[in-house]
Amino acid sequence: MLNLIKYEFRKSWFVKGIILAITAIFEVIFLIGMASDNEDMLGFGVSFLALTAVCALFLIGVLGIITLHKDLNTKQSYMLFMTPNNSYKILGSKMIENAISIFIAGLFYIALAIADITAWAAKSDELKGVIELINYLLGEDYAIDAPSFALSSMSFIVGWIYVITIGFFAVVISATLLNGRKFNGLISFIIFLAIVIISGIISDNLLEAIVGYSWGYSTEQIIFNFVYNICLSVGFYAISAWLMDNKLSV
Amino acid sequence: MQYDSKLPIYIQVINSIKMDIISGRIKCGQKLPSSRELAVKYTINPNTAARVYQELERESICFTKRGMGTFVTEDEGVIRDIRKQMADEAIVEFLKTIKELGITVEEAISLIKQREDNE
Amino acid sequence: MLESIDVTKKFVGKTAVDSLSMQLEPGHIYALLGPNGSGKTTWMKMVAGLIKPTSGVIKYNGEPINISTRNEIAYMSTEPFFYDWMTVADVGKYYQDFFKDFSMDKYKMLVTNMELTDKLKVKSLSSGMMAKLKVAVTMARDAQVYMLDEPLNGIDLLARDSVMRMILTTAGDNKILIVSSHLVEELESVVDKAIFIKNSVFAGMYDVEELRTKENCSLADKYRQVFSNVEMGGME
Repeated sequence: MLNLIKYEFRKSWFVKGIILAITAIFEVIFLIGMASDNEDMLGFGVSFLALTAVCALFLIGVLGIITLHKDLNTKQSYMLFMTPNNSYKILGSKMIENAISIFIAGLFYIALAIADITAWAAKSDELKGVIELINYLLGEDYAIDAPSFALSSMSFIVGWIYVITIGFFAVVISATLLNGRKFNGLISFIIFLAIVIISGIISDNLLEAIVGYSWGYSTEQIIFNFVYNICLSVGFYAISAWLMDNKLSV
Repeated sequence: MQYDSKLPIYIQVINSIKMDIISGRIKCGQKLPSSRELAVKYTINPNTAARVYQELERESICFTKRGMGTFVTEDEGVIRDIRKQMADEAIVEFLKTIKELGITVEEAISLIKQREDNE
Repeated sequence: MLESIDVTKKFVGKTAVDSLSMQLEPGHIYALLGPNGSGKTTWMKMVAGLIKPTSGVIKYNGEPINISTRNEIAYMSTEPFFYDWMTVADVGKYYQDFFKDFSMDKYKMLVTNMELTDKLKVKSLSSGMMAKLKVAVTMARDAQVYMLDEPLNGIDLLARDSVMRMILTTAGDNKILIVSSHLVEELESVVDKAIFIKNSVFAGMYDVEELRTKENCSLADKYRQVFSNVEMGGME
């Protein structure tokens, strides 16, 4: 399994390298702007860094699905399917690698942001003032109750897993039915959207049936979504792996 | 080695080895390559190589010493016999061809003598 | 033993393999012969587990083809399939990571034999070099079943000799080797059995030497007999 994860990392190196390069370019612009007190460059750097961070995290978040698509629809598939690994392991390794990548990328951008803001604050007195104010305000609520923070993080993670398993399923079913044909990618995307939407509708209806409402943001809701997402994730994961092992031809 | 397309391959390899023995390229009592080495040397299937040695052994041209390999016979009489046998086969082929060409044996002999004189 | 039991594979609009039944025994090198599109590659991929049959089953030593049979079956496809970011060394490492029967020493020797170097990028290999790399990495495994799909394609004469030597030294009493190729004449002395596949259907298995002893017929002649309606003239 470790080996599978190792190769999943290597497969996504190129994309991550490009993201890193783009980030570096905007970071340099920001630093130059800061050093030379050029507000235009500073602003430009900051905005694009923020944009890059958001896009990067999103892209890395779904990179696993994109790589799977390539792995199932090109001759590269032989690499995976000639080896004695069952599809539960294969999909599992992709998920784990994807999760680790997002985590590291997230940490990276947060660290970069903190470093940049700190450097900027050291240089600019006004900003210093603003930051101290924010810290003061946040300080009171820093100990936002750990349980609810934990719950939100878990929800987020489970939500992400849910999206990824639907993505995997869409790619796998599309490859099983349409292997290698044109528009395969487009069709998987459509299937993906369709499932997310339909699943959302079912989820809302179920929630109404159980608690009587489906809007708002209560604890019951969070727990329900949590359970619903986990169940569906497990289901889609299992079906995808089963399809890959028993019905998919490459 | 290029193989003619009609004769069984194992027979062609046997003939090649017999020629080597008669001409002295392979000496009496010399150790022959293993079955697998023979296969690689002649680019033939290992089963075919095994059959080659089986046949040669059947004709007493070689023998196997357990654990040591296959060796050419030391018996010069056997070698003389193969030479005679192969010469015979060459003559049979020759006679077949001239018959097909409509040449009599006497004409053939004089043609041969002529060629010999010219050389 | 490899057993194909009434195996059929249908794709949209085409039946690639039609009720193919045959048995392959260890200790032989089989030639798999037939024109392009006759079903040879599809059948091999079913043995490798890359394609799932529409009906019928392929059994290896009594077990239907599954994830664990991949441990003992080595398949070399006609198309290149390595990850394009890999180097020659990476390819070997990948096989070593996933196949217990892979020998890195043998791989290094074969790679040198084929005049390839470790640092060469897969992306930059010519088609001939790629063909050699595929054969080298497949034969560096110590599998029980080897299936080589067109291993002589696009390779120069000396390298073809090398490939034949590799095939002959790898063959063994407990192994099944299956080679598909259009170069019937070059294969003829190396294989001992030939399987013909015509229009997706099994068209006979012959013993190569028997064809010569009993029918005075070379494998190439038999191929012509089976696949064309043309009478061959020439030397008797």
